[in-house]
Amino acid sequence: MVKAGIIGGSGYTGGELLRILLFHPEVEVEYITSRQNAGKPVSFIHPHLREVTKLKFEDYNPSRARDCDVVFLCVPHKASMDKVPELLSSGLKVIDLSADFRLRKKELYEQYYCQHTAPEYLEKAVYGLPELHREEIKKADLIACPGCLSSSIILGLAPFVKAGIIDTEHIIADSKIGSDAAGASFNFMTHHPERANVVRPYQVVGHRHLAEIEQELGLIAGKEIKVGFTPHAVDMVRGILSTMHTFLTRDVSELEVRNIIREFYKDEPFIRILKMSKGYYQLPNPKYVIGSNYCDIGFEIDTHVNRLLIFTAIDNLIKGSAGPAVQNLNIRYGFKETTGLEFPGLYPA
Amino acid sequence: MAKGVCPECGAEIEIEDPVEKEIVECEECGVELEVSKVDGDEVEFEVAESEGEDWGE
Repeated sequence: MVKAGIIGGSGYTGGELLRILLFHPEVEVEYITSRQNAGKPVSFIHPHLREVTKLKFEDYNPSRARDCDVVFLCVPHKASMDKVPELLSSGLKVIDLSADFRLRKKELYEQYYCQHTAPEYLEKAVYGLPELHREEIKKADLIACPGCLSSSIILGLAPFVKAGIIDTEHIIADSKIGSDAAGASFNFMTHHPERANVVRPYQVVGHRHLAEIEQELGLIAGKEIKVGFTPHAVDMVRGILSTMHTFLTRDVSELEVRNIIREFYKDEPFIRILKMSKGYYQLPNPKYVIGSNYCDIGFEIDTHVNRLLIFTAIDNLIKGSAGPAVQNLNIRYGFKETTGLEFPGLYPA
Repeated sequence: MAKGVCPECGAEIEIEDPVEKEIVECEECGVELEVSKVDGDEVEFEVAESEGEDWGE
């Protein structure tokens, strides 16, 4: 059994990761921390885990972390970079769900976030999107899991950037995202009267996830790629729908587009094509993936303006966060990649 | 079990005891298909005529 620690386990991401790991047949959760809730049973903060686990939150202590084989960091950016050097030097494997090690360039990180105090680890970290970096993840000791919006956009665009059928200088990504993505801490704009019934554009230019989106798509294209990206807060608790507006560089058929996705994601266990000709469920919708690690991908060709629309839907807490963290653990330890994640979504939810 | 390919999405379709003119549904893309030719275990399909859906309200 792999002994796992969760640092920063009181947030929604930490709770979702714990929920998954508690039923992972190869993992024992040894240690979970929360500064604010140290000493309290986990179920005081994650009520759905009542009588599922007797774990209690502890204070963060590096020597206690050394009782683990692998540590998941579910802390905000800046907090990870303070802990990673010590954890790695103790021989632990680190799967970081924060943004601190997603970007390869220090300058880029500092442009979007803050000063980086452990830049020497940026090159060593592997971007933990299994569909793109599986081989590197197998050998990595520091895995940086992608952002939720980033995952939904990269997974949708990657096949077409690789295929070279879209104009990579004119890509627009528009995402709709639920409220739990704002985290378990609250502020005035997450207050229920402000958040309920909302359709609110936010960080309409320069969203932080843009940096990793352009980094990863640029690696596929072999050249710099710029994306216009605007997210919207909508009245859902969970889920993301991303719509990517791209422009075709040549005529393509629906079959060709479908085959491009099929080929790129051949044998991927958590990618599903959803593009039906009829029926109620023709294109991706967060409602169909809530509670699962799936990413549904659909598309439509708009010949009127030569546009290829790509749609992706994910559960932001699972495929957008805790799911790839567990996939990465499975890949790193040589377990079957779907272990602990073989569940469909809840429907309706 | 006879096999064919959906002309719409390229998915492989398995069909038991196919009969020409029979209408089947592609599980991957949902399009209705008409069995146009049966040759042993190989089946050819054409997209069946269907009424369009009007979303224009």
